[in-house]
Amino acid sequence: MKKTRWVNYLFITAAIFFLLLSITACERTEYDLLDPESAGIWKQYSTTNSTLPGNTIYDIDVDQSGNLWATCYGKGVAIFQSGTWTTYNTSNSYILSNYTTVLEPVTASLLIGTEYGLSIRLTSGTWQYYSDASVEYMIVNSIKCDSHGNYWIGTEDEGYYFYNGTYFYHYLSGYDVNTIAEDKSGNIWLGTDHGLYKYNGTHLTTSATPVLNTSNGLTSNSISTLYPDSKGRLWIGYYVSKTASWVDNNGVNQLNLMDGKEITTIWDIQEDKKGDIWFATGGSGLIRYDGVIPHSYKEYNTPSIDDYIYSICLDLGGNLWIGTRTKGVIKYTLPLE
Amino acid sequence: MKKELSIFTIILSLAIITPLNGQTNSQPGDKFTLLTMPYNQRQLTLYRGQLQANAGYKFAVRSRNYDKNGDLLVLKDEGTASVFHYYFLQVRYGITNFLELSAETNYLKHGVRSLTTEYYSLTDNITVNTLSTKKGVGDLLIMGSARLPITFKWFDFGIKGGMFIPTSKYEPFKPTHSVTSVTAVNTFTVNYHFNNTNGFGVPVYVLGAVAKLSYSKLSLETDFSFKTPSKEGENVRWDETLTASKTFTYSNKTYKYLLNNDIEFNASLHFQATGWFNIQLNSNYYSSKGGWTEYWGAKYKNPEEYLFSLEPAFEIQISPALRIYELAGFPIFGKNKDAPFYLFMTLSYSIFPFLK
Repeated sequence: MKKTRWVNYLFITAAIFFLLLSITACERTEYDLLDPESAGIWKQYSTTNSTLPGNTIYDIDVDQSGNLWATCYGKGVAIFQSGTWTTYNTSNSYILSNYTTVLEPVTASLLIGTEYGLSIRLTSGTWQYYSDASVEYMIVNSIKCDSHGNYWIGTEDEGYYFYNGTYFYHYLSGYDVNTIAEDKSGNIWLGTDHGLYKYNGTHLTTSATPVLNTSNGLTSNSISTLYPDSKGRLWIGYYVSKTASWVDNNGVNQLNLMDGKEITTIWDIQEDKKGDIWFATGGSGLIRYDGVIPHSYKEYNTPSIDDYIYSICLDLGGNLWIGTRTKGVIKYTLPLE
Repeated sequence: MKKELSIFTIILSLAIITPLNGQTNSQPGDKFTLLTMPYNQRQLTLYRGQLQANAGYKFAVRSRNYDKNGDLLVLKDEGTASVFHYYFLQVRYGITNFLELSAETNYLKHGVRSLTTEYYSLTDNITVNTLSTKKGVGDLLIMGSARLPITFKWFDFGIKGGMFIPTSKYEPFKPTHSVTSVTAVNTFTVNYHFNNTNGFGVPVYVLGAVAKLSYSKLSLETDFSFKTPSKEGENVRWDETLTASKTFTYSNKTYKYLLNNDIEFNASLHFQATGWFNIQLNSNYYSSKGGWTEYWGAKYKNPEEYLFSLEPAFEIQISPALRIYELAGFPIFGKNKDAPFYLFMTLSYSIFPFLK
């Protein structure tokens, strides 16, 4: 009797042990989880290690399907899908020129600025274009599709063109319109070589007064880029300055980029998913502003990148894509804290 | 569902087994004998009617950690060594000679001061000091333990199950950064101070089993415990912006997380030198994986962690009601885990409130 009881105890003990072990074996698996080792990594795509057609990337952006587009200066435009770059240039498409400058993905099409006007690639694969025959050059510097579906095309020395879905209208001739942005309230801002303008329902003329210029807060009148961030600030980058500015309800604020140089050009500005602001600069590499301090990423401390960066964008997964002057495209996955 | 089913199976097994194998417990009824029972003759749970209060303090010197490759990093060289204070309070009660209930909580205090960093350009200089503190009361752990319903002579076996109830304030408090030594617009010192808290934020289940084998003055005890979260949690990260007047404004963003599953094994060899003094060497293996944390909209796997430590310890019976337990921990190998040296002292006070 006593022996049988001990056999029972041992059996129960073994059974409970196996039960506990089986519970621990039931580990949950999440197949869409990312590897923490992939964070904080710079990955370069250039003509030597990929099918990217050129290493000078003036602009880079992501369309609504998550595809990455890059303007490769002198080589047309390229799309990155499934790890491969596909190129559209004058030899295989109806793009106006291989000297592509900027691009703007919009619903059902892609707007591409070139040194000879605007090319439009519809999702169907058909191409359209607009080039103003009345001007000597239509070098497109900036493109913005506003929340009403209108196109704003900024040019070098020829002001901007406004397209309402039917006609193109031409304004501010003689000005460089380098950048156009729409803020959360739907205001359209134009950054020019004469300061910052705001569209108030009436299109601009050369007699219009800029909202901001050096007389009321800007560091320079030569604005290179504008970026409205998620906190309601409008960031302003300049051609030759060592500061960036932002405008909020309290007025104009200056941010010293602390890049060790007296002057630099801010070519592009982008907010990441963490809320940090990134500046793509000519000569000072990348600068990340975390709300307190500007952090510098240059060739000497980040060998993967170029000191000359023209463009930066965010993909749907929160990765930064960086267009450089000589090193092609660089992908950066944000580090985990 | 699988997990709930497993817990239910254990409880059901106990409910069936206990009456089938129930026997009159023949433990001595003298409370003095029970309170002073040496470790090698003591059963795994408290005796019927025994109430025990344990208060502990752990002091850890966090001077090294193991990186993702298992290599040892000396934090002292990086200027980020720190100390860690952990207090715990536990109350246990023996409902029967083979069933026990307990409740415990803890308080944690830990501060990490990072190496001072300088950011400078030709004309500007920003100095950054960072202090990250973690302190607060932890979650309340309610446990039930059961052992074989036999008189312990040389073999004992028990299981335990419970849950951490998320009673603590687990979300980090708003940071309390400051700016000092302002000598120019861009020459100043930033003092970051992050205020983290203690607690899991979600209910966490605990399951475990323990076995004990005694032969003369020697005893061998092994235990295993498994900890798993009941669901995903949500927490916040603070973000700061320095204003032109050198003050900070703060905002926060929520993120989701799933805690890791933790497994812990202990195996200890005890020697009962005299009736009031027991010495032991414990080996502890801790492993943690299976969870994830959301960063900037993407879910990342939590890095797998493990740590193996050796822990020499002793137990002294000071008086019939009072016992002291002292342990020192020495990490041997690990991965993605701090490797602190620690001292853990516990005072244990036992009474039989209902036994004359």
